[in-house]
Amino acid sequence: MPAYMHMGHDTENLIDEQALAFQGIILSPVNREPEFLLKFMKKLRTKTTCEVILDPQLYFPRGKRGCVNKQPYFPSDFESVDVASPAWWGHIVGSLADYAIKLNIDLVAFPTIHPRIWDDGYFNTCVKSSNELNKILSKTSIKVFTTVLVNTSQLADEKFVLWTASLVTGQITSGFYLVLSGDVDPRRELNDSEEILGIMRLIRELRRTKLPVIVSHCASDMILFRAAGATACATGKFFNLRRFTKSRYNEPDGGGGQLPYWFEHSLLSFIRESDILRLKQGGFDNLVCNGPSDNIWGKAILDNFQKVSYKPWLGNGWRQYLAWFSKASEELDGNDASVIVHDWLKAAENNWIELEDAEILMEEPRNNGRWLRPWRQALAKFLKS
Amino acid sequence: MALLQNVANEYAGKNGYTMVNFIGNGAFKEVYRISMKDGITRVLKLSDASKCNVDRTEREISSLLKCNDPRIARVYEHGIFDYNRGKYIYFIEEYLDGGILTAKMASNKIPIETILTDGKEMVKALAHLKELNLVHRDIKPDNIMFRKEINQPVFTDLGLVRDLKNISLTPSRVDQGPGTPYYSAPEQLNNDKAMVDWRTDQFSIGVVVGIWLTGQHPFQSKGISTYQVVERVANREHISTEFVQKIGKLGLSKITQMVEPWPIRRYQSIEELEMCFSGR
Repeated sequence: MPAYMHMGHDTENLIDEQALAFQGIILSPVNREPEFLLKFMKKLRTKTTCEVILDPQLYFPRGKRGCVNKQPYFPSDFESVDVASPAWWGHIVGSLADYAIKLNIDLVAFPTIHPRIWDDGYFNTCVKSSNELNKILSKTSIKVFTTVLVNTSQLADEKFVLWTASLVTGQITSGFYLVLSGDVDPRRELNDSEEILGIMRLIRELRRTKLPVIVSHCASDMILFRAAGATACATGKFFNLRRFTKSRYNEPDGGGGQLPYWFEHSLLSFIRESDILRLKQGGFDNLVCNGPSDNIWGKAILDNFQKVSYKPWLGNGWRQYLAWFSKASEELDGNDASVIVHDWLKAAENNWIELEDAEILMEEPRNNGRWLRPWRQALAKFLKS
Repeated sequence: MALLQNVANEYAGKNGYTMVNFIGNGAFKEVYRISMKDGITRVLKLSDASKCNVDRTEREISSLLKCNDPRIARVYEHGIFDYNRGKYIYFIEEYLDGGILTAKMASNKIPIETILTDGKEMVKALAHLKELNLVHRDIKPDNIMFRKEINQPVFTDLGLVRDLKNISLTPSRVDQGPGTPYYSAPEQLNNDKAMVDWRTDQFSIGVVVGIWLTGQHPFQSKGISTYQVVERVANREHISTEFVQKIGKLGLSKITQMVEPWPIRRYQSIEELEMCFSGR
């Protein structure tokens, strides 16, 4: 399946769920210490052949790095050093290469940092150092992907897209690992059509190299990225709407992260339990459990609602979403993804209009499908450009 | 004008070579034809170490020594020659007797198929440079010579070569990077150093071949000066409609991709690039 699962806190059990059908996993140095990861990988290799990626996650803001600073490649002078120094990068690259070999992973994304400004020096350092890592690991079977960390607001400028793509594609690499940094709140959908168009254009430009492009930390926007030509997308159990900004990387105030959510394909949206009931009671039963949302966990959740012995379904909610993600990714594989996505978006927007007309309102005020218009606009412009 | 003729004569005499004649000069180098002890003709390139950029010259020599491809001029000897209290950098390169591309381009008698074959050979030379992480940065008709017996194009004059493994010698503060503006890619003209790679040379080959095939620079439009052509390239404007039409009529529209203003829009692999010279 052209989909990867980001490992998070206590997510190892999800790997055993065969029905999730992910192509591979992305290790999380933020959540796990090196000793844990080494033991985990040893065990994993005895039971599965799934592809394992290491994203060193140096781009996480200070204070949110968790266990990253315990990883062997994390430099002690991270906050004070001149990050343009090749010698400094040389040390990171060397220790990361050793670590990747010890972990016995398949692919490592270059350890990029979150820059103050996205200038040519920054991208050049990333590309050059990525090249060095490639060289060290060339004698092993471990592939190196160039991490392309971009500011989504800058991507609205087409020249910035071409400039970025030109800079990062100049050297030898096995592929690209795209990390989006922006100002959209965690777990909210992207809603600026020009920014989305920019991301899609960047993916298309990177794909001109014919090398794979993996987009990290996706949610339902995965369908747009796949329509743009991304070879695979990655997500995680908290429907990882985690975009990276230096200034802000917070969970929404007042919790919400632990509420169970259902991902509904017919609306391309996360909805709550009360919303499912609202749809059913409002005569919109046909909008529940559609397409890839109709999976074994979806069925289990709906069955659970009928039972007298009702059980909390948070865990099954993650699984229902993750299964949607991998199943939808699979449906977009080998087909003209842009046509399929166009139809999905059109249908979802029409469904939201019908709900609006029938005064069926979701529990969260902003859960109204309005983001689908900019998504459709971006796709339409993308296909014309 | 041969300013270093005395030095060249002295060098040749001391080493048992015979000075044949002065060929020409570049910005800092003078070029002479000499005859080796065994009678083989070679080229002697000389520059005054006090006047030239020694780092660049050394980089040129070390780059040439790394190359091992018949489409890139070979270097046989190099070093510093002391003469009359002065120091002179010299290197002896192979002599290419098939003339320069500039002369060939002036003739209208070259069949298109031959131009395509030569274009393909240039791409092979580019592939070799790419493999070595070298960027020529000055590919132009004057720097492409021919091996007479097999009529094979050969890249010469790597004076502006950039070794991507080393730091750039061009200061970031300058507006324009080194190169001959008329054949340079936008990233050279704008001194976007981080963007210079093998695709930069691809652009220059595209310009050379484009001019050879159509008689006009890909960014040339009616009534605009050479300066304006360079400005259009630097501004990353569109390839001219006239050029697109002319090359299209020849059934060679694929060539236009070589001169796309942004490197990402050019060919991304040598294999793809070679294909655009494979027939119409």
